[in-house]
Amino acid sequence: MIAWVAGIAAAVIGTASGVVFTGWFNSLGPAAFDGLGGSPPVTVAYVMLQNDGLDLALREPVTAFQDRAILLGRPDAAQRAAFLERYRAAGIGRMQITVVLEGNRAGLRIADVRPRVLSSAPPSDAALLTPSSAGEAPAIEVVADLDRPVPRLTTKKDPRVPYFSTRQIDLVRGERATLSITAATTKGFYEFEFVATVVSDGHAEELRITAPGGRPFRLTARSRAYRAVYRTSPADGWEPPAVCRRAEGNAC
Amino acid sequence: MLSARAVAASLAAALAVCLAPASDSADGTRRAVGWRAVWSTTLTQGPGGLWRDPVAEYVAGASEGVVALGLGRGPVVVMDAGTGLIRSRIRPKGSGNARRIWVAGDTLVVQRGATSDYGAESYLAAYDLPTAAPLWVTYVAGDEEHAEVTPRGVAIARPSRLDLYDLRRGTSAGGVPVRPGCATSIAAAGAAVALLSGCPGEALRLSAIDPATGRPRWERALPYTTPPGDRAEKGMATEVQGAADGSVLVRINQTSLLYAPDGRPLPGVLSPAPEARVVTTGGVLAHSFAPAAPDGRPESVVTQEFDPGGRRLLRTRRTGAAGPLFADGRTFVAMDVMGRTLGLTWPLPAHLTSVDAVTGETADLPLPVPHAMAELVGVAGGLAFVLGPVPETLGGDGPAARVTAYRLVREERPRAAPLGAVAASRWPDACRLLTAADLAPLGGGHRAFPRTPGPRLPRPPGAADTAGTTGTAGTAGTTGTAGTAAPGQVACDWIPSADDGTVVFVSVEWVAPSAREARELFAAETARLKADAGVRALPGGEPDVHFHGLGTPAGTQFHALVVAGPVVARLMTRSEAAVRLLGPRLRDNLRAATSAGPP
Repeated sequence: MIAWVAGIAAAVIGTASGVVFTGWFNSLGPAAFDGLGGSPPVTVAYVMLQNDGLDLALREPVTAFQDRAILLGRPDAAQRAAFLERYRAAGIGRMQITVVLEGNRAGLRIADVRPRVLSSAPPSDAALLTPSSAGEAPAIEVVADLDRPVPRLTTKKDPRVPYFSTRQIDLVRGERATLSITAATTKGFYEFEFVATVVSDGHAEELRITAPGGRPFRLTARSRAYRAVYRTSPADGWEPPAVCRRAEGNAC
Repeated sequence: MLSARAVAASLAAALAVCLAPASDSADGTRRAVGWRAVWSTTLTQGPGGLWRDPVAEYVAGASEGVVALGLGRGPVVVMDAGTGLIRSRIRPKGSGNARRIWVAGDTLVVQRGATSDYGAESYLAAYDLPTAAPLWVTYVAGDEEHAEVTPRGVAIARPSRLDLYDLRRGTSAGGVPVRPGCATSIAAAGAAVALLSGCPGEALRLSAIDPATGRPRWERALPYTTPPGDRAEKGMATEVQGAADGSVLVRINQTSLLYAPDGRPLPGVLSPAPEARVVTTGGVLAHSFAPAAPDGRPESVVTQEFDPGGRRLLRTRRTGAAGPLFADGRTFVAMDVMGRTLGLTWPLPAHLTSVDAVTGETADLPLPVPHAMAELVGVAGGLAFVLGPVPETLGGDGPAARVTAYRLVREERPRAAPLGAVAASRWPDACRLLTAADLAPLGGGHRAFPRTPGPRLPRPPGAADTAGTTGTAGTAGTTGTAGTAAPGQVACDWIPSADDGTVVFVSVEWVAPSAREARELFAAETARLKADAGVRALPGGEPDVHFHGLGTPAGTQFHALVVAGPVVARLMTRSEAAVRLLGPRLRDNLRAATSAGPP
């Protein structure tokens, strides 16, 4: 059963271009190598966001010189990440989140995984960061519709059927389960996380699954208009379309 | 031994990603200070063209005695490892490019086949190394079959059977049957063959087979179940790799499981990365993987070093490149990338990183060739073998290839120069290389923002020299980037005041010990750019400035590569007019800055 789920995710990973791994480094720390003493029944081995090649929306216009230099120049990864966090950058429409859970008990069951919305607002419309070439659309296995009053994970085939109503994930020690979740919205801006219910030795525990660094996942509906639009530059950053037109004629 | 390791581990934590190999221990220690060329052998090709780009079309095998190199459709050239003299040229028995080469004792095995046809048949041919006499030939069908060679025999994984052959005679040494519906993959692991087999609905099984007898040395079930039925093919991505001491790496769905030579699992290693590698030497196992950065850009490679005997993680290092990691004696060697800027590797010259497996001493030291023109193809007998095109032959009909053997030079020095070249004070400040007057024709209002071509550039002078000391003996110490005498601002972005202005990027690509060495580096890189069909040549006319355009899906970036004195620098903008205007200004400003000499 679990191998089946993991298998699907592997197929997704295998075919998706520009897969982004995050949150892996903490998992390499001493905790990843210690024994079983005091460890929770399930740990989040890593969380992966596939947002390369996807449109991003910012909640505020970028006007400060320092921030324009990050947007248009060559910031380092930390500066870029901090910038995107500061402007609460959110994927648009849908995003793919891959979560790997690792079992730390001889036997345990993941009874449920559900999204929990932390905050919501109208869609972000301040700035659109859009790639010059479209990314490959990822396959969808489990869907989280954040616009529902009580969001839940459903199957791709039938959004009315909660995924965990018909199946659960059993893990043995050292085994990893890979969940490939597609979160989607058409209505608003959401900051959210996931909560897994883990049952072992007859006890149920809740496990929070967040974006790397304990930050919320962010997703926004597409706005009808944006106050500014930036496209990917050949310099691997962004540039406003005006520059694009001037240099390339109709290439943008 | 154990306490030495413990000390080494904590020391390594402090040193791991230092660009300077120096430790804070007492001066007088002999430190790695550079790579010295020991020999260089040029391989030419006649008319007809056996290869187009040697760096892209090589296979190699190296041992203490020989370096065997196959280039494209050409013969496998066997060179003496110590002198570079060509011992023999082994011509193909049939058509096709050399795909793999194994050197096992006195036997050379070459796999050759067409690379253009997907799943094309290939053949294995074995030769006696001292005489180059052919020993045997056998065939490998398409992409369904996979061959491995170990000193104790040859294994070919076929759909229904693992076939084993005697290394010298090519005669059958028996085999291991494969149950119908099950998938197997193999890898040479020391003298054994690691066999990973998955049958639908069952746990994956890993065993170490002695290819001389077909008997397993050990066998274990892995905590993963192969998907049942028709999902077996696409359900789980698996791969197996072996190391010289018999350690095994199993990859399942982009994560790694490691096994010691006796089959015991090593501590839970997680490497969510598209690729991973395992290499062992000096009783240490190095497991490398390259996760992408959160924003999808190539970042650093993580290398975890284990003591397989004690099942302990010794240290974790971050390096810049995802190229092959080689082992020799007690040293790991890899061609590293110090940083990247605008999608290009930085700095211009190639760097080889050596890591002492026991002490963890790490040295990143440059080679006198551009990074894009150098490939590390093997390491043996204390030498690193680097392959590249001969710059003067580029652009013609079939460039010549050159193999150069480098030896690590150690000297008693208090501290090596940053990036293995010149003192930090001799690196110019990139933000001073263009003036407001230079930029005025672009509309003015530009502001300069200093940049670092991460991920490996050390912090500027004055930063604390204690980064990464969090590791303690035997734990997973992860080091940050540490540096003592780093260059200052080696890159600078000029951002216009309005969004429709022109952004200008400048990077100092290298400061060589002499103007002559800088000029040679510039000439080699310019020859490469001119021969690269993907680079748009722009009319020149300015001495010491090479203009070109690099196409990307997002449009063209215009570059000026500039040399002045010992410095090579690069200017990039989106505007061809701007690069033509500013390239010569950058050169003139650099000339003025370098003629003043070092402070």
